[in-house]
Amino acid sequence: CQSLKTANATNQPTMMQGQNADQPKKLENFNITGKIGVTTPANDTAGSQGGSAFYAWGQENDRFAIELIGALGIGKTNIEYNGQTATLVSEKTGTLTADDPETLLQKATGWKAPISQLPYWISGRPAPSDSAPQLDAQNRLISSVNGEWRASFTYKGNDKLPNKISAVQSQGNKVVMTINH
Amino acid sequence: APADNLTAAKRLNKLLTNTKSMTANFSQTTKGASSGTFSGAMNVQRPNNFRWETKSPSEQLIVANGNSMWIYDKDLEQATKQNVDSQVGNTPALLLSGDPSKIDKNFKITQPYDNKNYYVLYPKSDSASFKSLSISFSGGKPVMMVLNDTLGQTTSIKFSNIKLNPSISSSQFKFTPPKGVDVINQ
Repeated sequence: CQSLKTANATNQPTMMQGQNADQPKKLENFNITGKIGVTTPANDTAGSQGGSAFYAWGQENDRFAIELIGALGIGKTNIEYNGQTATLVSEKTGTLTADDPETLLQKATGWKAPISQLPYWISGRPAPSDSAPQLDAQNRLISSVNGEWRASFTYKGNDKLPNKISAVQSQGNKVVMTINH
Repeated sequence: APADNLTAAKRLNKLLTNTKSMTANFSQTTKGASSGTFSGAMNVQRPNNFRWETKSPSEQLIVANGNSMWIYDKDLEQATKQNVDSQVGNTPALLLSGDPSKIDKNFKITQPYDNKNYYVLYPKSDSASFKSLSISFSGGKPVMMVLNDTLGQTTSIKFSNIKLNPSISSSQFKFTPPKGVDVINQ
């Protein structure tokens, strides 16, 4: 039987049951640059907080090194993960470590971001723990859900890899990322 | 031989005071950083107005007038407003647009070579995000700035196509977030 409901001519997204041969494999190694923006939800004491930075991201299997440079080239932050420990170095915080990148980012900046899922999403793939990934007529991932995060993907023309990812968390945290492969 | 600090401060003050406004292209590189070179255009108008438009590798517009500064990321549909005297208070852009007479209050000013318009500034406050900031002039125009931060990184900013004291429309220093953009007030 057909495990995949094929998209019909009117470009309906396809519910994906299993991995699909046409889909790009998870890129084991990639080097990308772009910009990342994070916003936290407004609450009764303060409006929405957050910021943006230029980034350079090098990934090798589950190890990565991310460099963030703030506006006007100020405030450089390096985040590294070697598969066991995440380390963050910045002028403001000095050196911080944590067991996983998510805990580390929040500890250092107060921001929330699904860092462990991003390498899959950057590769146009659903993360293993994603639910409800949806594809477009060209078998490209256009949305996916992971825990409290709902991600949507944008592509330039017929590119196979996304050039922008927007992920929103149920409480209102938001991460937007442009990608230059 | 170096000039004494008082002379250096006077000379720098004179050079910066002569720069009432300025437009230029900029090219900014951080040594050892993998994010490469940022380039774009800048406008500066005393007091405290500047526009820093990065065009490559991605777009980012920074507009400051008086105490507030907008950072607009079109591709992220996000605009952040923050006050100028936060960590960006003593940045290259602010040095060119701030009040020259206040510089020696915040920085120790040196001129390593008496006959060269090259000045190195050391922040007096410990909370500054950098160790030193140098600025070089050629023909009375600022042509290069170099920032050494506390992590040992060196960021160089080169200016080209420099116009000194042009008249710049005040609209260049105003910004209103477009509809539908996430607005952050830091």
